[in-house]
Amino acid sequence: MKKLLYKLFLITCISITINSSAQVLTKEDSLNAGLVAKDVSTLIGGYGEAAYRNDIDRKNASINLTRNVIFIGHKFNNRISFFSETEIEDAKIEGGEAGGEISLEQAFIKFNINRNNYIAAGLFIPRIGTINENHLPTTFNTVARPRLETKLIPSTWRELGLSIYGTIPAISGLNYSAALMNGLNSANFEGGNGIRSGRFEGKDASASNLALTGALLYYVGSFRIQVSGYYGGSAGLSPREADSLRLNSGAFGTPVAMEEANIQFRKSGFYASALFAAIQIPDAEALNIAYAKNVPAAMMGYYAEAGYNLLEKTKYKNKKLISFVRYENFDLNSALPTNAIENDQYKQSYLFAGLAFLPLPGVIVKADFEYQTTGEPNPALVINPSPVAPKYLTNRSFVNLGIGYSF
Amino acid sequence: MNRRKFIEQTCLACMATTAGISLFGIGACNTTQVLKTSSTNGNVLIDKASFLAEKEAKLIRVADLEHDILVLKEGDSFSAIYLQCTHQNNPVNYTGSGIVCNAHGSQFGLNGEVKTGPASIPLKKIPISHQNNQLSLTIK
Repeated sequence: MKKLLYKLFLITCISITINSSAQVLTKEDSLNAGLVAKDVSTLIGGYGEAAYRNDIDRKNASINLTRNVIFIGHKFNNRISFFSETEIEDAKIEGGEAGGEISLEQAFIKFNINRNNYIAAGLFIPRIGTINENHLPTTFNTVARPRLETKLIPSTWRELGLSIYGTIPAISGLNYSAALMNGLNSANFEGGNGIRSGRFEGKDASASNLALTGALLYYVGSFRIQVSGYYGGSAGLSPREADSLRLNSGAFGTPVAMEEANIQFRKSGFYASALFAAIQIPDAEALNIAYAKNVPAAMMGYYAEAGYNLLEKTKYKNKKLISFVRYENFDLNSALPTNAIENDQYKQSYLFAGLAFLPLPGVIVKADFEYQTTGEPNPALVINPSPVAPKYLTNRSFVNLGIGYSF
Repeated sequence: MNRRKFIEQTCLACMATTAGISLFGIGACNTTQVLKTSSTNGNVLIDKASFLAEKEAKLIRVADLEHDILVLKEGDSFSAIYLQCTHQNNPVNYTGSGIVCNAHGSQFGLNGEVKTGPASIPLKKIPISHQNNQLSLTIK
């Protein structure tokens, strides 16, 4: 383990010392209002979205103020800044009622090493997938975030730790990031919900297990290409507690691994993207013995999207009317340990087709048709089925309308 | 596969990918020259002769500016853009065919115009004047 940590330290050092002539490319940065740097300044921003959803098959509809986020940043000096995002979901939080949440999406201090590299310490969002980092409603076309990037990659996924970002100077457009943060809580993993409930999100996280993430992001021509990986422990218990549950403790005990790759292309009003992600939980069998939550050994999925700005060749250069289509397919139990029960309901595909209108870059109006397909739920997993429950529909259609803003 | 082997192989794969892309990049001459300089009375002077190609880009790193300036030469004309995102003032990256901000995904054209939000304001253009064989960028 010491040798491994030493090798990782060397790799990190090599990465940040390859630094000569590239321009700066960092995730968050200073708060200048003009060209010449001010000593201290504070910035306020935000984003939000609302959504209407009509279930065509069940003949009912809902409408919700999905989220409203306030961003506050403060620059202490040219080297040190603070960034935070506070989110309110569902507009109202009332004791005893479901829904609604107030949380910090980010709260970190940024230390500029130099123009090419910086360190973030605190609650941050690791670079995994596309939505996790770029989750403003004006940056995706559907009313809701891509299903794969909420159910498989649990966006927005933020944890506490230390991260480093920078550029690879030998190649213009190539960026790296790496992070050390607290691991997940496998006691909350559940079949059909992936690892989403295992996030600590900055609240009373166990630091008994740790996680490493890394990503390479490359802009070349009209392409944006990213690969990322995650490996972290998830027991979060003392050795005694873990032993009693027959789980592996330690920094990387009861591990979770994730791999992700995505590519985007934009040119002349045409847009295309594709993403693949996979998660492995090698100790799923032990987790099911400990917690009996039908945890899978693996999950995987992909999506592909294409769109075109119908106003590209018109005089309305500042506006966009994007027609798009996206297909998503993922399986939340693609591999199972011997003591898990397969559920075809967790094999899901989604087809979206719609329009997104941006009268200006910070405002978006969306409309999409969503066609959802799942397998049949396994009756062995339905405990005390209600005699009046409606028949499960493996194919469902929805019409979604939404508005969003960011500034 | 045990966890040590997984971490080792993943890290080595990342480094190999980086090295491979680096070699490809070097072979493709995909670098942007950075010129370090300072300002005098609010102006930055750059020697025109330092631009050798018909079409070339340089990054100007001024000591008292927090972000770089991108200077583009096309034929006999020059333009300069301050590489600070107009959304939340993060630095932006020149990719060769455009300018991008990794913080929230804003993309800009080489004239600084917004191509993809959330930024809604074009990047700041730096006034350029010609003084004999030099370009003078006005930063204040």
